[in-house]
Amino acid sequence: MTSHALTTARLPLAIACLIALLAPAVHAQDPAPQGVRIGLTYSSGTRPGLYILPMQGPDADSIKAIISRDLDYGDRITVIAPDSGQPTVGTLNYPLFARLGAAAILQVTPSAGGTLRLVLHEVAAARVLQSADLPLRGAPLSPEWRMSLHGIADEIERWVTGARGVSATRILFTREGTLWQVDADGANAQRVPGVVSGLDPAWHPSGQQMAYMEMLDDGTHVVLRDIESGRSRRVSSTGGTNMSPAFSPDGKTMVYASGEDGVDLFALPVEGSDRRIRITVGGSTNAQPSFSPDGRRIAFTSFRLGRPEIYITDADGTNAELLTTSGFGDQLYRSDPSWSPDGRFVAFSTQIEGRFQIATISLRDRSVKQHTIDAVNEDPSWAPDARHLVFTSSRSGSKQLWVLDTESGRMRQLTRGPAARMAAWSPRLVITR
Amino acid sequence: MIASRAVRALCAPVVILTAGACFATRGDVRVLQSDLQVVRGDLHATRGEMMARDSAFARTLADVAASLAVVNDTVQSMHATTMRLRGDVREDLQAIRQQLITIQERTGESARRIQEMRAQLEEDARERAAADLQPRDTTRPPGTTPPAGGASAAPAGPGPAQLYQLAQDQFRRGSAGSARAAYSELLTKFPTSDLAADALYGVAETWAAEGNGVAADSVYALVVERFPRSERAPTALYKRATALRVVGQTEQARALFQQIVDKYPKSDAALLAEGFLGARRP
Repeated sequence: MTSHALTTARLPLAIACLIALLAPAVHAQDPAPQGVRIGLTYSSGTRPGLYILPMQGPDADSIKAIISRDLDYGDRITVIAPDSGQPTVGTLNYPLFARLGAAAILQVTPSAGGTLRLVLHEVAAARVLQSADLPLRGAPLSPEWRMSLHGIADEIERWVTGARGVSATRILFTREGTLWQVDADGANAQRVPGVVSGLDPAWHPSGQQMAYMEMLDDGTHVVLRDIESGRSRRVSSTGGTNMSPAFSPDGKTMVYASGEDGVDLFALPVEGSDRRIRITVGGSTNAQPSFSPDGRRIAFTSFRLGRPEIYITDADGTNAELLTTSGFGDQLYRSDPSWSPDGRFVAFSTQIEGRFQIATISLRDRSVKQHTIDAVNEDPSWAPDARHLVFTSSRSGSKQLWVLDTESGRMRQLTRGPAARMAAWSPRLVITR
Repeated sequence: MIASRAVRALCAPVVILTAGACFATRGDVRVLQSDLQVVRGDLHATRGEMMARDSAFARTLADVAASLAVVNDTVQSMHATTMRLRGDVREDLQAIRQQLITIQERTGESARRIQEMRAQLEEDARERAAADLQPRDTTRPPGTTPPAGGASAAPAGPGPAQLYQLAQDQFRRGSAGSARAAYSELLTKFPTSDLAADALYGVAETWAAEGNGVAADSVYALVVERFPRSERAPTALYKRATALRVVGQTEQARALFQQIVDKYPKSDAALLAEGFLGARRP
């Protein structure tokens, strides 16, 4: 738990103990504050407080810790969770919770059958806003169980804010020349079995397949792999360089960079025909494609100006145009584009004062925002919420993966251990309703 | 008896002959020694000549080998020079091609900037014209709005560059309908503008963005028909061909791809079309 979360947890601890002593329930009297109403009412741009009531039952401590952490990492909710206490029974004292800064109260009751009973109270309206019985899958504390709990946390975030969280996701990355994966909360970091050499990973939108670059003696190849079965097949069949695969949002097309003298982007159906179609021209090096969420455009890195810059083109190769025009940073190197899932921004690495930093460029007005200053930061990849980015940073002394909330600027370290880089954030792997 | 006589008769001359050699004089020996000396001399001389000839031959061989080495060095040097020249030429060509691409990109970027400036100039001109039409009202504080219905109304709406810029901005914001309206207004008010082809192409793009492939295709066709010499024509053709390919009408698609290569061989669309026409198993 972060120091921030600890602070927020200790503060209401003492007061929480008083809740059970306050017998008469006082109904809410204050009118609801003005603001955006998405499930709950809270001021725009703020993080509504969510009080998680003490819980008991099988694995209650782990459930509470994981849900609290997921909601905290979502950066949309201020979690208020006392360290201990007895489950609250009877009517809740809503005004007291309001004084604690809670806009909502969450009651979680684990059952022996592996189901969580969830009840969400709206403090301002003094009523139950939502309730559901959601199942946990797999053996307690197993990766599958944890992932299903992440899915439940994401659903709670949707109840409270209207936007589903991204904790039920994984991040693929490269470590020591091969592929690894880690849950979005930093748990379960493990090597992808059966992959000897793996770089530049990419997720299929279904979350059931991945593609990556394999380095062999005769060059590099793009490999498509079914995640569950582990079955792999080589997609590229030409020699030379084959790299940086990316999937179209509908999952039907893969684009990757290929070539010997120059490197161009080629589109290939993921299933069926093996005929690839060229989508860049110009005899330069074109690589690192990233699709727009509607699948109609592709951002990519090209050396056609003599240095790497970010371009966007129609997915069929027409209308290529320079995206990262001059006017910011060193005029030397911009690369690693990643198109945000809401279509509004392209994140990329840019060299500023000799060091790579993470920036985003607006597709509407081409305005650029720099998100990092310290150390070397590169290879951004968007989370499905179009708000968080995972990237490689040397700020901890070695290259590790970090997660950035682009709205608040908050960062957290995702990986530890040997150097990690080239992260790819998965789509939502579990959607609990 | 008779046999022993015969043997004696035969042996006698042999013995005489054999013994006769033992009776060679000293003179004979000297002659013989002299002859041997001569023979030795001859042999020595011959050996000397042979050695001299061998030596000369070896020198010749060495000379030839040295010449060959020189020739080899020269050939290698020439080969290296040729390769370097080839490399230089290739590099120069690459650099020229790179410069051309850079110029093209810069031209594209400049064109966008010029477009923005044109829109701004049109706006400035419109504001100036509006200001010129305003009567001098010294009593009105600066910055306040004149009364409606007066002579202060702008003489004309936005110009073609402003309309195009507006349409582009709307399209970037994801408002295809608004963008289409602005493109259409440009085409209606300024049908001969140099932005007309871009505007018509923009209309097609807005239909495509909304998923209306039929409408998009018909407008792309109109771009080729009305503005066959514009830069948008090959791209519009490529869009049509790609749409046909996607729905499986391969032959019609190939015909359009071929048309691009034939009519617009220097366009980017032609390079893409060639890729499709020549596409085989990778």
